[in-house]
Amino acid sequence: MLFRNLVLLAAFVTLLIYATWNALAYRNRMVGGADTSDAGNDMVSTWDRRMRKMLPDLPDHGVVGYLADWDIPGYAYGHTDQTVEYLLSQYALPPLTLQRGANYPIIIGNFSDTGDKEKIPAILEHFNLRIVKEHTNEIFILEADTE
Amino acid sequence: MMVQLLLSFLLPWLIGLSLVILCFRESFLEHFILKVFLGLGLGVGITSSLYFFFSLVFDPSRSSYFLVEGLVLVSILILTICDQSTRKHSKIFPARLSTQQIILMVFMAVCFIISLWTAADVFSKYTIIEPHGRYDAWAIWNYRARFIYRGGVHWLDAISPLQFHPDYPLLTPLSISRAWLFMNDEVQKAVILLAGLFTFGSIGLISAAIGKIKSLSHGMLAGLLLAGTGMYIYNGAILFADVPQSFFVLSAVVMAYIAITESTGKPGLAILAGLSAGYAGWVKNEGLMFFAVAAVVTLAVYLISIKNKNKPFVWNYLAGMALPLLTVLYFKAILSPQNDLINPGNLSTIFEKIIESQRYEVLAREGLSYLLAFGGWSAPVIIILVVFAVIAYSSPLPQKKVGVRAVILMVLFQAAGYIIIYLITPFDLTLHIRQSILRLIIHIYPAFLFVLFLLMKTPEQILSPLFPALFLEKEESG
Repeated sequence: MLFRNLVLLAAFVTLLIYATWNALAYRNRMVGGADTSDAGNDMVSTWDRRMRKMLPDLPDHGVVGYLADWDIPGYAYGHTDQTVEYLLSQYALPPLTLQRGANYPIIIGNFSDTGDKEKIPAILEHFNLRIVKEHTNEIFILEADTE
Repeated sequence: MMVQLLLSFLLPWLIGLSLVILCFRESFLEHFILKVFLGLGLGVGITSSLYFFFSLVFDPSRSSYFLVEGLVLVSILILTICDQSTRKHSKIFPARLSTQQIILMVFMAVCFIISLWTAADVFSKYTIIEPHGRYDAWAIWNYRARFIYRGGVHWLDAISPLQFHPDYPLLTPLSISRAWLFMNDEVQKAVILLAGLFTFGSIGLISAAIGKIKSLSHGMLAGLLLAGTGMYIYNGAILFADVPQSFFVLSAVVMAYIAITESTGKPGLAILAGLSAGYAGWVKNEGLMFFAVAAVVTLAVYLISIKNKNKPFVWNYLAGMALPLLTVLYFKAILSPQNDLINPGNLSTIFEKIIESQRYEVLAREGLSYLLAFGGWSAPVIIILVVFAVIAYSSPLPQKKVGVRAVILMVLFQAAGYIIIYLITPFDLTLHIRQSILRLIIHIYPAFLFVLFLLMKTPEQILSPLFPALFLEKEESG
């Protein structure tokens, strides 16, 4: 009986100390050396600030098209980067619903600036679009060119 | 801004707390900490329903909504104050403690506080580094909250078929949007505060519940283990909805146990049990299954096992479920399309999947590897806890056995439900398991801890053979 009680006591003390030690170890491993000085400049916050500036120039609801490098025929792009940018743009722009494609009255264009001056005119011509507003050298509000 | 932020969640908390105090039908100071944490979650749940129906009738951008909350609070407060005026405020502090008891308490409290501090540090640093959370947070939950807050009369675009998983329940997006409406600004800290309330609310709830049912030091050990499970805290800090889901599962399990074992003369406990189970179905789709499991198990166990039945129990339980059930039914039946996970094709396809032995092999292999990896400890936390529970097993008192049986069944059936969903998933099984199993474990982990702690000897019981002065009258297990 005494042996059983001692085993139980040992198990209890071990669990208590081991659990506390693990909590400390997890904290040290995960955030022990974390640098919080750059707060607010994480990927989502940065993209969010960049994209949401467009909201005043867009409709107050509805569906808006989205074109990016992955829509340019023959153009090399990183699929993951393109997907993340699309999702982050969706996150920044509610109450607008972003859908890929050019068949919408208003389209957001997100094209990387490679220094190629012919890139944007070629895209506009290919999709038969015109620029409504150039927000940055990479982000545009576009619409169908009916002329 | 910080005060305004805290005030934004004060109304829900006061509504929940008043209702819990009213339903417990005892002096409000008794088990006050348990009531505080129960009230927090239930208040958020209730206000999400109120805001949902208000938004359907008007639109979610009208601050006149807070008049509705105010009216609800005043109504419940009046009932609570009337009820409290008839209650005798009994002595709530324990009898004088022995030196050994004080030493045990201090030791447990020190370990608990260290564990809580590490959890708070992990949570705060993660939310500073990534204030919008990880993928699910910004791609689903906060994204939807923005639609509701910014959308005005077009807020239902948040769940249009064009959206990703438009059928996901709305408790967290509505609660976030509601806080923004209160602050009249889209403050990201409101999202973080909501996540923090549920993360630390779960720790508080399990500590207080075990503290009430077994002993304070046992409650601190349970809380220490939950706070010390790094993966749980991390999941809360990345602003996913899995920790809020786990809070409501825990809350439903705790209240089912208390209602079954203590409902005589306290009909309100069954209402709280039904309410908690109901809101488990309004956080994530997985919670819908728990909603059904909790209701069926609680009512079946009560009706089959309790000899001196308290007749209104079933009606009270169903009455508690009414508001969340109405919310979920309206959302699921009228507003949102079918769940993609439970639409795998015809019955013969499902049957073929169920009898395919290879799927069981994949499930066992992948499931076991993730189960062992869960927790963030240097050794598998679940195995350690089960081994300790076996060593420290204590048979529940006869009058508590029915309650214990009910909560064990709830956790087991929920786990079995997850296994069945995996078996019939229309997606690649391995990938589906890898993408979701840790989050599913998180849903039931606090409830699993609660069940284990009901079955374990308390620290006082472990130490009492060596230090007889530690033996407390409150002990429930034989």
